[in-house]
This record gives sequence, structure tokens and C-alpha cells, in this order.
Amino acid sequence: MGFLSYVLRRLGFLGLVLLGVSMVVFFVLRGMPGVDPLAAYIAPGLPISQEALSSLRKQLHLDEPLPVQYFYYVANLLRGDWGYSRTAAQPVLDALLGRLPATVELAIFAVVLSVAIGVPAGVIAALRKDRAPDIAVRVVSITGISFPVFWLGIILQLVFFYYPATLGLPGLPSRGRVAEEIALLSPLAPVTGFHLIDSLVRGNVPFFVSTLRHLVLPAIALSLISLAAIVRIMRASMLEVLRQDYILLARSKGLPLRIVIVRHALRNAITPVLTTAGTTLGILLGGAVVVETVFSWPGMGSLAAQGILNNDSVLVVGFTLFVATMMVVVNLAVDVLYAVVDPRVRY
Amino acid sequence: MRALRLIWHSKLATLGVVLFSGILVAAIVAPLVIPASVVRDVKFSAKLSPPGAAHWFGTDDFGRDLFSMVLLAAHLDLRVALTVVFAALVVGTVLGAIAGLVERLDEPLMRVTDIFLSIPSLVLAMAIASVLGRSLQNLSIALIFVSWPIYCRLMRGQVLSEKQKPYVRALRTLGVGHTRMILRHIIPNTLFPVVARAPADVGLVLITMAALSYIGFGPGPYVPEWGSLVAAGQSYIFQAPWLVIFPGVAIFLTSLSLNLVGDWARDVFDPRLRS
Repeated sequence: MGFLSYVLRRLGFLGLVLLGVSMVVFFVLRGMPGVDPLAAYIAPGLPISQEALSSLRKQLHLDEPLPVQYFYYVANLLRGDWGYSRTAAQPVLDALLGRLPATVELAIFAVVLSVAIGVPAGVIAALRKDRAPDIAVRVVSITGISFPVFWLGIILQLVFFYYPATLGLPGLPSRGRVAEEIALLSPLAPVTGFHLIDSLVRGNVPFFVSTLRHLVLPAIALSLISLAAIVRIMRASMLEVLRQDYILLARSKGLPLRIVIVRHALRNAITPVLTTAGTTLGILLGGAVVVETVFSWPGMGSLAAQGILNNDSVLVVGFTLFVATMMVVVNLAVDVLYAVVDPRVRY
Repeated sequence: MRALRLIWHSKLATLGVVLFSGILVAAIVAPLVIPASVVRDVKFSAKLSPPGAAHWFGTDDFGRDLFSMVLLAAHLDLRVALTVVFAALVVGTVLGAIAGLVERLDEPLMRVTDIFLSIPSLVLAMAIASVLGRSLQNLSIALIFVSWPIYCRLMRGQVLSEKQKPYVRALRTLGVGHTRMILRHIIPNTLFPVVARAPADVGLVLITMAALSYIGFGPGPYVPEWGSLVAAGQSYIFQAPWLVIFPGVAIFLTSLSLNLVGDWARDVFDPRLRS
């Protein structure tokens, strides 16, 4: 079978998975026993007449049987109507898309950090299996997955923002995406919504520097979540590859160890890390809810957290659907890229 | 080398078991020895006092003893996390066993599992708890909802591979009945690798729960819970950092002890490593 038909088949599969995800999300939104789905659309305590309620119920098709409601729900989703968020005072999809760049910018930084540390650490641990470096890496990674991320965020603020500030030393900012005075003095006209790219395009250096400084602490906190996972996968995969015959062959024909590791072992061992990119993204977006809240980062996650406080479940459920969609799409992209890069993948 | 690894492992695992047992005992005993008035009685004169002889962990913004609050929270957090994982384990293994044994139900059950696993658990739990309404009970329900699928998938895989083993065919030839085969042979042989996941999962659920109650699903200021204690202390982070530090350390140590045990359990029961 050709490559094109493989891609088409995967796209069809993507459609099915998204359909399944929408069913789960719909079930959560409308199928929970003892929950009136209309409640999600009305601010609590709002005086509203019975007639208005029942006409709203009719308008939202909540008086129809569940399968019919599901049909309307999916039709609305496809038209881009994800409902209205009271928290953002905006349609849900607009609110999420508007805050997507801030979250993606943060997530990319976290990924870069965790790959830059996690891959070498995993390789070293595998090469020195059961010796001190391996034990150290494993202890650190177990410690990493045991850390409550929101707590780490607050401690980072304490150590790198508050204590330097009280001692009169330079520290790192602990809130927001950019310093308020910079946003006032040299404002940035949005191009892509990614502050780093936009400020470079516009040649706004102070804005760029301030954004970069604001990224450091939240990115470190967020990267901890994916770091431990990457170290583990990398170590296990490297151990597996080092056992293979071609490594023994490369060694016995006299190639230096460094070449064997970098050219032969690492290139094959890194693939499982890439395969889990979708899962890693999901973990990061989940972590973003917490980290963005700690650092007042104006992304999708902190918006969803505000939605929780406002009982705005239309927004929270919309966020869930959005994150799941992103994960499914990234998984597909990884699979297709794989088929392009790796000749062993059969399609 | 393997022996060395096992010793190292068992040492860390022992540390984990000791640590967790200590925390568990403290959590069980806490509500019996700490009077409920500690939580209810507000003493503004003793507000935000630093850790010392009278108050080991200091006091919070209501003048309450933080050490007692953290211990009472241990009771709540551990009870919820253990209940959630136990429920998820039961639901997951039963459904997984059904998927592995009843061919007709295998495909539909696995597709449902896949869909659940394709949504990040914290994000899905958030959505469910938000629709059900903010309360600790709804949070637990949401956590069960997102925790069962992994057990279902693991159990199904175990049952499927166990069914293929020669001893099963041998016993069948000897005339062992269907029900007896499943209950006496297949299930007992498949259960351990699945249960081995539970300790690490309790740690994960504990952290997820603390994170969710930190962002707003918490039970309020009069019910001590680790995540909400951190959230409440955050407003005083610069005047009284102990309010954040101690509950956080409690979450960390509990989850660390569970992960140490979990790591060991996974290696011991991993079917690929069994010789």
C-alpha cells in the first residue's frame, strides 16, 4: 500500500478517535446523573423566570432525547460553536484560541528544557547502569515524579523572586508574561500571538528580554513533569538498543565508543521518546493548568482554572475537548512523520 | 550485577515501606488524638506564628496549629487516594478480565479504554468534577473515572497472554472446567502484575488530587486538605513561608514513599523480567 493511502487511513482513524472523544465529553457534559445540564449555562444565583428557563432549554435542545442532543452538539462543534464562556465573556473557542499562543510558548520551553536534560541523563544512566550515575539519575527521576508541581512553582518564586528581592539582588519575575512597565512603554502589536516571535519580528528588544525572563520559572516548574518521563523512557530504550547485535558489531570493528553511542545507539534509542510526544504534550497541558495558575500566566490553563472557580463547566469541558484534540492531532503527525523518516515502518 | 540491583532496589523499597507506614499510622491516629476544636477554634492573637516549641510547624492565618492541620489532612488525602485507586483497580480489572475472556466484548471495551486514555487524566478529571459541582466527593468520583482504564488494559493483556500458555491447555485436557479454570488459574496468575501498579498510582492520584484542590476543588478552610492548605498559605508566602512548605513536604514525602515501593513492585512483578 502506498504512503498516501496510509495517511488517508490514519486521517480516517483520527476522525473516529475524535468522534469517540466527543462522545466521552458529551457524556460528561450531559449524561451525569443528577446534574441539570442547563445549570452550566446560567450564572449561579441569577434571578431568572421559569418561562425564560424553559425557552432556553428549548433553544439549547436540552428537551430532546440524548442521541438527538449529541447530534446537535457535534454539529455545533463542527461549526465552531463550542458554547459561551461566562468567565471569559467570550465564545469558548475564541477564548481558548486567543490564549493558545501563551500556553504553547510555555509548553515548548518546557519541552526543550526536559529534552535537553532528560535525553543526556537517560543515556548516561543506561551507559553506567547500576553504578553511581545511574542510581543518581533514577533517584532524581523518582524524586521528580513525586514533586507536587504547584508547590515547586511557589518554592521557585520564593527562592528566585522574593529572597533576591529582599536582599537587593537581581531575581527572576514570578507573575505574568511580560513586565507591566515594558508592556506600557514599548507595547507590542500582535502578529502571531507568540511574544518571542512577535517581538523579534517587530525588533522590540526590551519586550523580548522581558518575555524570556518571565518564561524561565514557569518553564522549569512545568518541565519537571515531562522530564522524569523522558529520562525513564530514554534509559529503558537505550538499554534495549545497547543489547543489539549491531552495537556489538560496531564496537568489534573498532569504532570509538563515542561514535557508536552517538551515531548508532542514540539515533535508534531516541525514537520511543518521539513516539510519546503526544502523551507528553497531554501531560504538559494538564500541568499547564496548575503552573499557569501559580504564575498568573495568561494561557488556556489558567483560564480553565478560573472557569472552575466560576462553575463555568461549558468552558472547562471545552478546554478538555481542545486538549484531547491537540493530543490526537499531534499523535497523528508523529505517526506520519515516522513513516516518512523510518523506512522500517510498514504502511 | 542483577543481585546488586535487587539489593539497591530493596533498600530503596524498604525506605519507601518504612516511610509510608509511618505516614499511614500518623494519618490513621491523627483524628483520634487531635481534637476537632483545633480546626474550628480561631485564635487571631496567635496568627502566623513561626515554627517553634509550642507549634512545631507554626500557625496559619486563623492562628491554628499547622502541625495538627497537616496530620488531619494526611488522613483525608490518604483515605481519598486509597479509595480511588481501590475502586479503579476493582472496576478496571473486572472489565479487563471480561475483555480478555469474552471475545465479543473485547473490541468495544478496548475502544472505550483507548478513548479514555487519549485524554490527559488531570484534564478529564477536571471536566467531570466541574460538571458534577465542586466538592470532595465529586472530585473522588472524577478521579475514579480517569483511573480505571489503565488497569483494564493491563488486565486484558495479562489474561490474553495467560490463556495461551501450555498449562492452560494441559489443564483443559485434564478436564478442568471453564469457571474453575478462570477463577482458580487464570485470574490468580494475572492479578499480581496488575496490582503491582497500584502503589505508584496511589502516589499519582494523591498528587493529582492535591493539584486539583489547589486550583479550586478543595473542601474549604475548615476541612484540612494538603492542596488547599498550600493554596491558603500562598497568600502569606512572603510573611509565613512555612504555611506552604510543610504541607508541600508532606505531599512530596508521601508520594515519594509510594513511588519507591511502586518502582520496586513494578520490577519484581514485571512479566518481562520474570525468569
